[in-house]
Amino acid sequence: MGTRDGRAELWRRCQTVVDRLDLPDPFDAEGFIATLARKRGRPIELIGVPARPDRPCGLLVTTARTDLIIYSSDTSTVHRQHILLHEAAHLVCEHDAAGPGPGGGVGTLLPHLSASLIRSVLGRTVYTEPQEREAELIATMIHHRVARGRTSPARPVPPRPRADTVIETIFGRGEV
Amino acid sequence: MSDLAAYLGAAVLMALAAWAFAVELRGGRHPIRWAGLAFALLEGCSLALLAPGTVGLSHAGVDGLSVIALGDTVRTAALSFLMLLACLLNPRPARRRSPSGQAAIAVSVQVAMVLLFVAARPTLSADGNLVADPHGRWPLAARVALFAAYAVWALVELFIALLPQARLSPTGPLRWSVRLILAAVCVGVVWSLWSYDDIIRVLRYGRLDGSEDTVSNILGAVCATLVVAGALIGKWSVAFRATARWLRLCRCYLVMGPLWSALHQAMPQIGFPEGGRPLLAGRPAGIEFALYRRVIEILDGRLVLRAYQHPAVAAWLAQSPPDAALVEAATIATALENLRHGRRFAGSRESGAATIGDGGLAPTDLDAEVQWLSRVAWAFRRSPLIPELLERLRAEEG
Repeated sequence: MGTRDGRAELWRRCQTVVDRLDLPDPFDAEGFIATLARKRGRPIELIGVPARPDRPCGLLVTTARTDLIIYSSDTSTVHRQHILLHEAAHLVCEHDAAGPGPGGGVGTLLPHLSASLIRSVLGRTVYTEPQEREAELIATMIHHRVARGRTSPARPVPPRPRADTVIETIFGRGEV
Repeated sequence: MSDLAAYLGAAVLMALAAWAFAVELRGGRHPIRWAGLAFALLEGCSLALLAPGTVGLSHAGVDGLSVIALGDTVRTAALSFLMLLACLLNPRPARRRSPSGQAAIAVSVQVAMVLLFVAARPTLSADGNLVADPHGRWPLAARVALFAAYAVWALVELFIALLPQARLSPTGPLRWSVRLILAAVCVGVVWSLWSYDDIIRVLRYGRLDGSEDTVSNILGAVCATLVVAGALIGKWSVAFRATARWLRLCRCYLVMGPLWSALHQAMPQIGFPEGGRPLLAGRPAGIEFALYRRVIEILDGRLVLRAYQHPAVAAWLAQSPPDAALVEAATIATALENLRHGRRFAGSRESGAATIGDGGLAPTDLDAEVQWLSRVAWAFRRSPLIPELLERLRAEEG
């Protein structure tokens, strides 16, 4: 994946995934995850915990009945949203189906959860794993799409009031 | 001077028409734009045709009388399109004239202009003046008056249609656009009324300057310039804002560079190799993407550093002017130093020591985050207190 072609392929693949997503408008990560949970037919539980140096700032724990996203709650809004999007991206790409087993400090975070119930754990730590790279790029692209104002794949632009567009009507819109 | 003003006004109007045509080709067809385009094109052509230099081309075999008649016809047609534009812009549809009514008025005026021209039986003198037949003074004067009245009528209709837009347009460049076009309409009215001296001259001497005089040509050039300025200020304001934003993002990206480099050097794992992308790729999108990655990676690094931040940094800075960004920068700098020496402070983060956004400064969106981190990065790189603090840290911790 380190080659230029591999990188371009990753970009193309992730861009395709992001272009097909139906994002809520106005956008927030929690709303997007709620939509994702409805589409998957599985609940996604968000658990905010204080950041600790010995565990990832984001963690996706998949059990038989639910998906748990554990995230650092004591960081800035932008960072928190990005962590949530990263973990949601794992679900979008269905990384949870092939993720590694219990670990990543889940036992200390969720002591009531038996290790036998956990199917997979994905932690946002480093980008050496292809799944982490993919999830991070998708999270970044989702933010980028939202920032560019394209929350819906094919949302028609509503007509603007006539009074505001005389000059634009005569000489065309000045959008860049 | 007169030629310069006329040809300049003509060039400006024709360029505007070409631009409007290009816009029309790209976007959806819109009658308002077509009417504006036709007016600008025809008015530009008439300015060029009636310029003294064009009328005086008789020595080159051009019939000056025909040029004047053609120029007047083209200008009258331009006024008809201006009337149509005013009608289309009228915010009250009930008061708009029907297309057939518009056409009837336009054709009637053109026919009347031609008939009056023929009735005046003018000739063109060597000095470029139209000389009316002894019985043709009144028809020629009526023709000048008819043209002026038609122009004033069209301009007043346009003014009435545009005035509500000036009030309803959002404040800022768009409203200034409408105001400038309203100013152009007012200059156009003065330009039209300026022909009163032509009426007097025709009635008194039977002579009319075939081409536009200097004042008329200057008024025409001013009118064209105001129209173009009004059009461009609305158009360019968007481009200007986009450019200013792009430059601001680039500046923030560069300002954050040293902070990001220091964090990345100490914690290479925060870097996202796949995020690397040419800064200019995808036009403005490239910098937005790169800046977002830089923000996220700095915040990732900041989380890792929490275990290493020295609990006394804020107290060390207590005697300097209160600056949250400086405290944050100092916390990061000392934490990096502690990371390099493997000094962790078990109780620092967990006990709630200084962290990003402490003191009610927590950024809530990306713009605020970028501003905040830019301030932190600037302090990290520039503040003379940072090296002093690092010296103190080294002295105290060894």
